[in-house]
Amino acid sequence: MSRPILGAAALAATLLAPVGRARADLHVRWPVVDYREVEYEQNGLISFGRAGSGFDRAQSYSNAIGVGILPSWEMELEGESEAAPGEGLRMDAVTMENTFQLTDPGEYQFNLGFYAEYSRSVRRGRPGSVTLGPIVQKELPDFLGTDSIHTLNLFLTHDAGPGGTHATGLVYAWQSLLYLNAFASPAIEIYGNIPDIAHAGHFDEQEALAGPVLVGAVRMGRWGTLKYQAGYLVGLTSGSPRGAVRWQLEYELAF
Amino acid sequence: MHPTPLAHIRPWTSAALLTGAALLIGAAPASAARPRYALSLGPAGFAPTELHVPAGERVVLRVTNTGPAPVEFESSDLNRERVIPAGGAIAVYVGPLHPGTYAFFDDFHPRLRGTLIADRAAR
Repeated sequence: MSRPILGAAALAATLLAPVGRARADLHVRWPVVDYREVEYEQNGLISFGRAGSGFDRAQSYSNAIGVGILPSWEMELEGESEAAPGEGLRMDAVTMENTFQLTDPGEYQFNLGFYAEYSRSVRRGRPGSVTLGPIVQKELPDFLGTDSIHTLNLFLTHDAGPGGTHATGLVYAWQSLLYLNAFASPAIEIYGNIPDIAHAGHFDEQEALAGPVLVGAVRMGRWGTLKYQAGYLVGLTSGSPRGAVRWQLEYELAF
Repeated sequence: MHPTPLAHIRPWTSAALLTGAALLIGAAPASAARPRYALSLGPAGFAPTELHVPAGERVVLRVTNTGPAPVEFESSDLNRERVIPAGGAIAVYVGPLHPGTYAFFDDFHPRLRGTLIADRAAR
């Protein structure tokens, strides 16, 4: 297969997202469960690219309600919506997300967690998907003169239900956060998506983004905690948008 | 295009292998024996309200909830938060810390506050 055709196929595979992760899901998950807390979380992503590329001003959003059911298990129910360039926003999928905390923060060399989600498409004829894999985090107390937290998500994805492909995808995400203060700390994030690891192709054909993000929280005592993240990611490959703005708002309330 | 070696492994086997590898790498104890410090939290607040620990070392805080209702030990400075059921106890792993003060509080009753002081002469 020639390189241009291969590139177009990889781009189409990415756009069609055969392993079905919502693009608003571009955020790094931590291996920590907020036990006895209920949370509302919104993620948004607007991507930019060449006109007609499928990326230019594409939008995706997710809104989720989550509960820390056990000290080691948090579950979220999420609604995902997307808008292709020039089109209106429409509901895309409903997803059940589970985060399992396997170690207490600081107990071992690495903080470990496990993530598992089932996403069901609400669009006729489109398959659902299953996504799961480990979350690994390292706290480095004296990195570049300050405390830092480095987190890796390494998730496998697979279609579930009629109409799905047999492809297994790999979704990876990395965040290195320099902890300056609770209100605003800078981070660098990297995201990648290989829709079919059996035919991963060249890196340039895969989706990969990286960029700076600001992370912070405002604690309001018994009125809960507002957490926020916002950043601009730059496409690293020709199979990626040129850039993307992403944000996350999260409100947590203990019960 | 040839399939990658991973193509011959079932996807959920791959996930199990990835997680197993992470557990093997990550489950090594951060430190064999860490100094332990006791802290209690009840309706009247933390006791002691000032806790001295050695700077530059990993330490364990054993926090006991002596009250009749759940509490949440929380510290933005230490990047830790854990709910403690009534009558229960938790271990909070912190450090190594720079010399200085680190505030902590009960997130369910934010007026109940304390300070962890990391200093060179605490041992």
